Amino acid sequence: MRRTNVFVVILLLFLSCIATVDAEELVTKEDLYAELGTKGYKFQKSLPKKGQILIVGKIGLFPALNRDFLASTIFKADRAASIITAVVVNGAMECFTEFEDFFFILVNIDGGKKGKKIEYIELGETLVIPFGCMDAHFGLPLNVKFRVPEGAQCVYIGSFYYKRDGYLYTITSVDVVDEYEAAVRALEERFGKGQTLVRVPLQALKE
Amino acid sequence: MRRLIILSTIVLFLSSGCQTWGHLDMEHLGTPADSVLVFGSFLLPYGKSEIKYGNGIEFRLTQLNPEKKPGYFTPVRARNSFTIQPQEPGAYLKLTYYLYSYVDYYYTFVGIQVPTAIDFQVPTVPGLYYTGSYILKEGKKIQLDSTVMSELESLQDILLIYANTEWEHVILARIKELTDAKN
Repeated sequence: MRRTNVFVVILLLFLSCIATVDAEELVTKEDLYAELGTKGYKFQKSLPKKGQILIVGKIGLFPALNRDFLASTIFKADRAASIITAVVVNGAMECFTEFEDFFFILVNIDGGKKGKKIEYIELGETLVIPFGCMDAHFGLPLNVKFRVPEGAQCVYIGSFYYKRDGYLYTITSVDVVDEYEAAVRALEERFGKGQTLVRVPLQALKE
Repeated sequence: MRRLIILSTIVLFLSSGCQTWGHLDMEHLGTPADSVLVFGSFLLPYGKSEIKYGNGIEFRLTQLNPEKKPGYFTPVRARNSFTIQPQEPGAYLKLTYYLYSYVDYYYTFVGIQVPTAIDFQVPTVPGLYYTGSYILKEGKKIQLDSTVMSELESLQDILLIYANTEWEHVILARIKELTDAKN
């Protein structure tokens, strides 16, 4: 009987641990942000190796992000954290990169030993995550794809300028602008002189 | 057996203390002349029943009108209703995060762009503002459902929080108004 009692108490303790979720602790876990790449994220600093390609582009917003206001109104905003974009590449959200500046996304195009070499790269939904805080995130529809040019290491997809409206950052239009010369300068500034940047024509991604 | 009951009670008591609801800054509560007192209800699918230990909803509203005072608010619970720090008239409150826990838990970062049923423009005139009754429906979507809780019931709930403040007489006046209309 005594053993049964002990067992029931242990069971109750176990159940109570499962049932009570300390939500505050749950959402502020550093690993959550680390997983999202919003804190301490190191932007791409090395050139692509064999079987890789570097995508260069830019995402801008007009009117610009209201940084001061957002930093002061959002839950646990870290002003020191970068504002980054998370880009869905070929169906997997894996690329975190700069916002409102030229970005550099490294993608593996070598399918591995058994895989097929990737011919097309799809850039899908894009999330902007200000100050390492998911409470403030919003989306920008990129939704384009392009064919990987043979032998190219660095490709330029264009500069995407989004117009927004209202408090909710509702996107009303997007202009794709060719800023190739500026992109080359940004590329050389990051990776050194003598880089070749290839323009790629874009196709709309069917949703 | 008695020991078992005592231990179980302690376990349940400790567990019930883990709800994460906000609290009001009573020193800067605003007045009925310069602020808007926001209230409503937000319940789990099993409706009116009291939220039991270990179960709960937590949500965060963020003020997004850049011309108004910035801030985020975790609602304060009063029975089945909630209220938040009285707001500056004209503020815009947006649901940016919510958590629903019932043994297991589920949480969503809604962000600032995706509209939800719980987002609202705070009236530009000071006074009371009833958001309505929200319920987390199946499929984890938040919906307004006026059949779950009435404004009168929510007022009676939040009176527990605003008793002995400048808001008490405003709440009582509205309760009387609604009761008279009912009769």
